Amino acid sequence: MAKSAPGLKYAEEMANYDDCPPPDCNGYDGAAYRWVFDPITHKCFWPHGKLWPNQERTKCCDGWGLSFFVSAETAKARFLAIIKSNRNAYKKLGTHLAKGKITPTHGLATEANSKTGHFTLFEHAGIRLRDEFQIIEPLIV
Amino acid sequence: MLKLTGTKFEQLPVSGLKWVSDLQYFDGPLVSYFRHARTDDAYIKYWVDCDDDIDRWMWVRVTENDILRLSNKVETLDRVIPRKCQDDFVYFVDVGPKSQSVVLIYITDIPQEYTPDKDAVLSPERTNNDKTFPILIEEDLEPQDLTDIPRVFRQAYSILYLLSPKHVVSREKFLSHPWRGGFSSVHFYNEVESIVPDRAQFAFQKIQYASPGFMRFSLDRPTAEMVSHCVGLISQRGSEARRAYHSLGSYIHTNKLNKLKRQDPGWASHKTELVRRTKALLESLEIDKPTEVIAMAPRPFEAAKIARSIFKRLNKLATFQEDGLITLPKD
Repeated sequence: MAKSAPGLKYAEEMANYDDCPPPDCNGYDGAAYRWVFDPITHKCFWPHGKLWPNQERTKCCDGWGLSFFVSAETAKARFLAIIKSNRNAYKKLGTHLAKGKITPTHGLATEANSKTGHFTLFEHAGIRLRDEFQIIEPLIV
Repeated sequence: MLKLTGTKFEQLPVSGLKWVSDLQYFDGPLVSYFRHARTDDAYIKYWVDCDDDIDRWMWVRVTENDILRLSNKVETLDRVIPRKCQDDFVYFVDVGPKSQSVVLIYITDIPQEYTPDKDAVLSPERTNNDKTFPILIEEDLEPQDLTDIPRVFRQAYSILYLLSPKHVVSREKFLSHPWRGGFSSVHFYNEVESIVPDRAQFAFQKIQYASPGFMRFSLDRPTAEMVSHCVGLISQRGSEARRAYHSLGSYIHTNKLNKLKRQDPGWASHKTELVRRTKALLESLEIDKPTEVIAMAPRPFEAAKIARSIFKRLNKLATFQEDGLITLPKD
């Protein structure tokens, strides 16, 4: 059994995995971008382990984190790449791009991927990210 | 979701499928590679649709060659699904929280909405466990090529592994190796390969001799990708590596250094220029701290020969690739 991660929203679930959150996680401080639906609901900020509990390979550490991007460009590029391979993926992953500011008080973040700009945030307990994000543009036109 | 009309099954009529890897993943798998435990057939499980309760997947039997080309980004998904399907049909599986339903549909009846868009490139995430690398065969190879390609690749891979700044211990061991006498490439590469640690040793896994086909090796994947990257440096237009190689070769040839006796006092006057041109060649191949590599050799002349031998191996692979015989995947 892995060490627990006290103070995180899904600490109980994450305790089932080794190195969860990954040891190199830190606080993130800056603008962040996430795919959401319009209107934004709390479900837009549910981790996929909670959203799709029966789906294969979401029962992992990442399943209890939220995906963000460091820029609108990287968020849109990844979305377009996925929509090319799976045309209906917007039904599952989101239709709009939202922008917000994430600070270390929101949780622990993995280092952003240098190529894709993607990072995962493991939220602290009591955080309501829905209130921090606004839609800036549609992803599907 | 679209209504699908076809032959219904209570469950997928193919059993024993084992997950191998995800070829496209975002907050869950979207395109996954499975293998049949008994027949070793390759299958793609492809996410196509959902509603509030159900996820819909398409199962497509393909070839391992197609999987390798997809996962190494040398083939686009729309060129594989559905046209490279090994059967005349695919299975659609609707998976709900408590039940699933299966429909067999002929390839010609697959809705366009459930096929990939043009030029869809997958972005498989590499894991630390990925210790394989393929050389993709594009045309019929001569028997000699089948021997030469893996041998040359193995030699280039081994030397680049030892020169990588990521492998501090191995690099240190290599640079402090007591090289004696003149430079013999056979002797040199035999020793180089023996210094590579067991966990990173290059080994043949599988060959599918066809065009297209593949050779697959177990090795340290980042180093294999470095070989591929260096081959790209040589192949690019106006290659600095080619220029540096010819500059060094020209100096050796013009000054007849291959015929100069080891004890000849004339060597002293060539030292600076040999070091400068060798350093330029190593730098053009993005080899870390070239001065350390040059210092490893008994004399600058041997260092020049080592640098030229690395280029020759990479250039041979570049020629195979430029001739359209093979493709070396890049990261």
